[in-house]
Amino acid sequence: MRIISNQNNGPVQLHTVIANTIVVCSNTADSGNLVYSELATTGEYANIIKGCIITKICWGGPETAYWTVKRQDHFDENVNAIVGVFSGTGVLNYSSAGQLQNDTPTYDIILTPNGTGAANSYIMLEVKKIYGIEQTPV
Amino acid sequence: MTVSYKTTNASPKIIIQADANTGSVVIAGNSTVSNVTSFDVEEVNGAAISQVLWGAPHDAYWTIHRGANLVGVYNGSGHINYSAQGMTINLDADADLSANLVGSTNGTIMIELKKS
Repeated sequence: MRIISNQNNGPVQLHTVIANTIVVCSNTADSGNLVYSELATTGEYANIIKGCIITKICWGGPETAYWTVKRQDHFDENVNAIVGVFSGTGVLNYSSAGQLQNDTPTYDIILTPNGTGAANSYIMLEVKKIYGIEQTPV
Repeated sequence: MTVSYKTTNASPKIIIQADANTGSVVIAGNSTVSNVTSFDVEEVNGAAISQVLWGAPHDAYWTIHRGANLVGVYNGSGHINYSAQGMTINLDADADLSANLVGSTNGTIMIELKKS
């Protein structure tokens, strides 16, 4: 996964061509506190990020391939929520449609390319961070 | 095969148009190195992909690489305006660009890039 842009107190844009799990908010084994997020950027406390909402998705691949986007509970890997399936090539702007993809916002985001030709495919996401109130430095 | 570059002094844009594999298009550098400078003294540091318009048979697709990295794939026919979505692809912006048509010999692609 590569970050296209990440703004403090703003959106994060991500790009990948392979399967990836984006850690939205996780814990440490010893404390159980929320302390880590891959969505944090410079000057931003990771543990105040409590979730994220998917606002836009761009994707592309052969017609025989498709991406699945799932949200998985970081604390229970058996709990998954399917967000969407994206075949062919396209753009989906949930934000401009007025239908933000805000299901299970605290869960990690799992991106998986599937089907024939999945190795030649990409997906880009824009997510909006949700903040909590804890403020322990990273 | 046709690969053409449209640039203007007034706009920091490049449009790469092709009907077959482009080969490696050099982006960064001065006018003696870069394929996309618009005037003799220009130095291009990089260029981000802002729009892609493409066409191919339904079972064929275009790939766009920056250097060795795959950044975009486009099947069938369509148009994506990344810039309008606020999601310009700035990954490896200083790397060479190549567009390749997979699964057919009939296809076209136009790639708009914004120079930096």
